[in-house]
Amino acid sequence: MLEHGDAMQSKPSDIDAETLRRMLRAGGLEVTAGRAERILPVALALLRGCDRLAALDIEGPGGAGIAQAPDPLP
Amino acid sequence: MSEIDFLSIAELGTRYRRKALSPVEVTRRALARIKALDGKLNAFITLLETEALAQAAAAERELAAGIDHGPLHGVPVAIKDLIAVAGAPTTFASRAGSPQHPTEDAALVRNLRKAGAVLIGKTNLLEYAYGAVHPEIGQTNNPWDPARTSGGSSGGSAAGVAAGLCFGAVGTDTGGSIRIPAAYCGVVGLKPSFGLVDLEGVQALSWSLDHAGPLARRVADAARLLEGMTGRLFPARLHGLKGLKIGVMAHPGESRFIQPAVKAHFEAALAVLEEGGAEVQPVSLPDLDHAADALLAILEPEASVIHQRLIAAEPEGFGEMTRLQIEAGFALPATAYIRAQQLQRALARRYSGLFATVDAILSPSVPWVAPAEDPALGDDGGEGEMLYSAVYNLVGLPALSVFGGLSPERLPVGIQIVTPWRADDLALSIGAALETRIPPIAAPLEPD
Repeated sequence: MLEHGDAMQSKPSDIDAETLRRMLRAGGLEVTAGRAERILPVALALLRGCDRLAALDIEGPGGAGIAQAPDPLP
Repeated sequence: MSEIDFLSIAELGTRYRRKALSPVEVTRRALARIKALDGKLNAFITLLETEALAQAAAAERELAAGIDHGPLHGVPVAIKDLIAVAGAPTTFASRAGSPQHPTEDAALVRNLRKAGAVLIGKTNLLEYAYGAVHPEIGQTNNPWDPARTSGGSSGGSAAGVAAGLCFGAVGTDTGGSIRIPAAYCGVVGLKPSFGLVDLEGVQALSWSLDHAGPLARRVADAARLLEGMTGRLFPARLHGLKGLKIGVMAHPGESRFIQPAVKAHFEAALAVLEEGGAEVQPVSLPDLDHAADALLAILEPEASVIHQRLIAAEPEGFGEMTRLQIEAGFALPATAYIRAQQLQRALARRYSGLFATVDAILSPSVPWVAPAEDPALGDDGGEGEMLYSAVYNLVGLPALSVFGGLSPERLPVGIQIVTPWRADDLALSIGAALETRIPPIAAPLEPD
């Protein structure tokens, strides 16, 4: 059994199919347990990328996605 | 091979105006060539034969009456099949939500019509411009070797141009989908500055990363198409290379992927620019190795939201790989999306600073020549294929792929030219300068 502190240190990619199914539901997609098993390898590849992003020390704002353009086109 | 099928847009226009060729004659030739060759290529999903011949006839009548819409007047152009063309089905190369029957043109199509272009057909793509071929539709084969892919996702547009089936085409690019097929097929492909081409009527894959742009056999042709799509001018004329500062970007992980022929042609292109008077210097930026992670952390959840209703209503209509990608995107944490946006902004600032010291950044377009099949998004092959392209979707800079030579197995290599925000014309100008020194070669595919 993980202690609370241990759980906080786990990575997004440390998940099984049932956890994935719950994450998908939270994101707005209902899938069966069998379908979650099929999605798991693709989701894990994506979530490993999220782990790498989480390890970066990036300063500055996020949000507003496309506003990275220095100035808008007229 | 007939020289007519591979004329530049400028030469085609000259012959139209001298009455040495007519739009109807050229459109008929293009349609016949598509029918003769597309069995091998699978580049076109819908051929707009009746409509194209009617447009060509109208273009011919207008020229005879002294009405001239400019360089694209009467020029057969193909449109990627996720862009709305009024009266033509849009299939998205999918069985989900497909076909749609738009009654209005996309904004860029409307502009191309105003410029006089003849819309000859809708081209094949990776399903919904995502990372996979729908198995019932199949990949677009490469005109240089039909046992290989034309690349994705704008493979039909690139192959159609390379095989002389049309004189230009429109593609879209969210992580390299114009530049990768342009490189594999030996043609020119431009991902313009973010926001330059209006995406109204273009099926979105990722609002933050989507771009539409031209594919053509020559840089000047790509410039004319971009003018037609936007209504702005892109003269693409560089007054000499002397003093031009070229940065060669260090891409972490490059040595893991790059093929010797690609490296050799890239170095040869740099040497050619140096001989012309350009100054070449190495440049680097931190965190470039995380660009693909950031791209996917933005692209995948945006694509999942875009397809949310369709994936619930018609999951079986998607190919399995596309379906899995859409489904997986629902699991991505919001914190990862925001971290990716932080990196996106940080990289945009760093590129902006870098362009205080160089005029353009060069790299190969893809580290390898066309493989048999498109690698899967998110795996090692997908990471390698987007090594040089993905970051420029994140930061929105113009990025042009031009022909850089043939590998020993006679497959094209692409060279990517990146310039500052909104300096699309400079990218085209440098591309044109390189093209005069490394001229394009027509693909060898011919009817049996």
